Amino acid sequence: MAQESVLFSEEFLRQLEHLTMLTRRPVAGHLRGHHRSRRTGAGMIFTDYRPYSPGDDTRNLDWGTYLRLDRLILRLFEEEADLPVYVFVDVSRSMDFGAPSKFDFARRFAAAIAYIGLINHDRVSLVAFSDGVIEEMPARRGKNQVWRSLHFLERLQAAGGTSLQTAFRSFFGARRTRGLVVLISDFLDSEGFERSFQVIREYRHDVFAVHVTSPEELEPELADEVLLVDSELGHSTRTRVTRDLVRAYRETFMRYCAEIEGFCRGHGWGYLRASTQTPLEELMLRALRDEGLLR
Amino acid sequence: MSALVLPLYLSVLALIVVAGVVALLYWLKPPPRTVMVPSSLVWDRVLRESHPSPDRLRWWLSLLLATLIAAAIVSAVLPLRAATSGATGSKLIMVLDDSPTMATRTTDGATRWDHALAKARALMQSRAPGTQIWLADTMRRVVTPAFENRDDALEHLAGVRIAYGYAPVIPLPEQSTGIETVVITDGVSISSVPPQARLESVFESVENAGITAFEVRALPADPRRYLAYIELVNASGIDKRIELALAGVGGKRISRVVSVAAGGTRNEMLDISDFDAGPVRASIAMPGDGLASDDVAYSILPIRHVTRVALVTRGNPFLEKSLQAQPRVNLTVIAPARYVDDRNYDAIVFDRFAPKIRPHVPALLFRPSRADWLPPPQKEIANVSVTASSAAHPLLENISLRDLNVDRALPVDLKERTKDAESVLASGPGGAPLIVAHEAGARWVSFSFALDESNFALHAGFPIFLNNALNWMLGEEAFIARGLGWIEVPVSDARVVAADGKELPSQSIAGGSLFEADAPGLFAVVSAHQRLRVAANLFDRRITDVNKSDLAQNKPDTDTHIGASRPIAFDSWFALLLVAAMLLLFEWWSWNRRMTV
Repeated sequence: MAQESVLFSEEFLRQLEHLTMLTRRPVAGHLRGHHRSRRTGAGMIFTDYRPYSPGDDTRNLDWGTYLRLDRLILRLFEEEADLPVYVFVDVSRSMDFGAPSKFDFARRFAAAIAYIGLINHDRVSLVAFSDGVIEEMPARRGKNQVWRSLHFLERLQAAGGTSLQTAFRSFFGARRTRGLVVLISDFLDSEGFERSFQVIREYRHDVFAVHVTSPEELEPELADEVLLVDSELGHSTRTRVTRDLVRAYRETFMRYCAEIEGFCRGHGWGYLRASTQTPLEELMLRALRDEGLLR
Repeated sequence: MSALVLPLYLSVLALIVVAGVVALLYWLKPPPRTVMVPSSLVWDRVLRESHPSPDRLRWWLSLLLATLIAAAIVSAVLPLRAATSGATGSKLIMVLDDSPTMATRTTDGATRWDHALAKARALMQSRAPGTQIWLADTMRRVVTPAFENRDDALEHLAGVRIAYGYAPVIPLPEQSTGIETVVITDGVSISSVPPQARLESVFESVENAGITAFEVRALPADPRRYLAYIELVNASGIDKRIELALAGVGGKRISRVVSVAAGGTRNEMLDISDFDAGPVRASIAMPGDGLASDDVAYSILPIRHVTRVALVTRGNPFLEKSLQAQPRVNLTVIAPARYVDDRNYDAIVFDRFAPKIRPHVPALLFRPSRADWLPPPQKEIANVSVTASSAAHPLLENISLRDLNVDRALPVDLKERTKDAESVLASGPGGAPLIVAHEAGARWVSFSFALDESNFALHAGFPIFLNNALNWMLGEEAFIARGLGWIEVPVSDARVVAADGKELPSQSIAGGSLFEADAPGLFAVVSAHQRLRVAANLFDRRITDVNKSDLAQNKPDTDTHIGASRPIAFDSWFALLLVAAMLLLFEWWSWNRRMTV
């Protein structure tokens, strides 16, 4: 299947420039940025008072309190830091399905997220995974890294099976700074998704799961006797597709999606089910805002 | 209990065909559409929850239907045979009618005998290998029938052939009660079967005509003219035109077409005076003739010339008149005192006299006086009757010595004579030779009694005897006519040669030889001192009447296939094919509804 370019229109890019990524937790960035940090320091948001100690910045002394109580009290402010954003793109063979394919959709989605992060001086890492980490673009920061990120996504090819657990253990095992993990996948992992998600939980990242689905997946156009061939594992199942079976499939698929959503919501993660038919602009400018990933 | 019995190679073939048909049925169906799905994760869950192994059941159902279809087709095509009785220990008595009418050809080109053999073979093969079969035939070809296993019985069946010359009977073992008995016959020679027997008919009505008599005789008024007498029988159900032909030596031939009414007889006398001496063949031709063995007959046209005979007697008017009555005899009567050995005679008849020196021409002697060249006489005996005779000898052909009474006889002593040259044609009590024939050199026949001392001259056969004696003594080739079957000839250690030069096997018996003629023909029986022509013909109206059967009312069996194993039955294989077709339709219907794969 011919891969679709991840390039966006000028207008869409201008719209993305007005967006900022949000995280539910204070970030642990070490460079100055626009996100709340656990550290106190030069910032705009007041957090607390403490007695003055020699050596403290005298610019933060609360002179009003000193005049009333004759004590030197120091005002504390949250320090604003950059946000580490890890964008995981599923490049397994199951993603190469549908028209437009879930793979192209995922790359465009990742490109948009990366663009927003880089514009806002967040440290964006792009990770392509299937049954492990296939390729990684190390953390980049700044608008001038946009083209590098887009080039990285452009080069990706759909191949291999899906093993979320292997990919996460491989990536986060290298002591990554806690940040926002954006998972873009169809989550069709034969080992199940729960175990893999537990891996990310161990590292206490803020996670936003983007569940990519295609209309063909939800409403399969199957009839009569078919031989269903798994695109990743290759094994086949012969069955007679009836209306009841399609209905049962649809219900099971929706239940599977609901299970993933339930897990994410249950653990305070963000979740968005994104159909490949939904325009990306609508997802970025509306759905992700509604879900609290963008502002 | 019934079981299907097949030879090993056919079983393997059947399995291969079944497997082939099953595979063919599977591959004939369009394969399912291959659909690539991102992952079978959800599908597996769906199928697990909604269809507990549905495909397995469908697969089994499909295999079952395909196997049934294939089995039905194979059963219809291959010569499956149902074994109707237990495998081992069951018994069957099978009697085949091998009388001559079984050679009748049926409308399918095979003979009734072919049908009988095929039916017998199929019946035997339908039994389990351990079945004990008692195989016998009505003409006693199977000399000592006994219970034997199926394969041995089948082997013996191949050796049974149509036989002639006996009266057909249905042999049964001593203990036959309760044993399944089958008699396969056309019902012509066998009119009834034992009550416990099941009759399998091979009868089919056909058209047939035959020669029931054929003789060549000289005209009494003119011994040099000969007539051929032929009797024809039309055993068909309608009037027939029959082409009759007589063929003799040197290409001589007479033919004519005669009409014979349905079931009727026609006698024909044809003048064959211009034929050369030798064999004469009579034949008939009729379209659709069923039995070939009664369409041909053979005889011999003897040598014809006047025979000069001298009668040496002191006076015997009866003998003189009898000799003069012989059609071809030119008789001269001379007294013993005037007798000289004259070579101008062809034969000499001595009455109560014998010359001291053996004559150079053949001689017939009635109570000869003592002479060195004759066996010495013994003591005279009185009131003698014949106790033994060599009826097969050409001299005694058509002669009965049963009522011969001799007042006084002077038997000869043959103890010191050459047994090969002399033979006793009739003997009295204690083996006393009454008639002796000598074959070496000039032949002679000696009677131990005079004609006026016996009633032989009063016998109706006496003129025939004189004719036989002249023929034999003059060395004219002896000729006898016999029916088909085993033929006894009065020639010891003889070779039997058919007209085509082929030598037939013969057996030596006391005073002669025995051979079997299973088709009409002319045979030469040759020994060191003797030569005899034998015409073997099937002159039997009962055999020519091939449609005269009690089974004529029954419909002939049509399910016996010659030269092939018999399938279960015509309707069975048709039904099996029908079942296969119905199953095929059901399979197609079920596949369209995805009940099968």
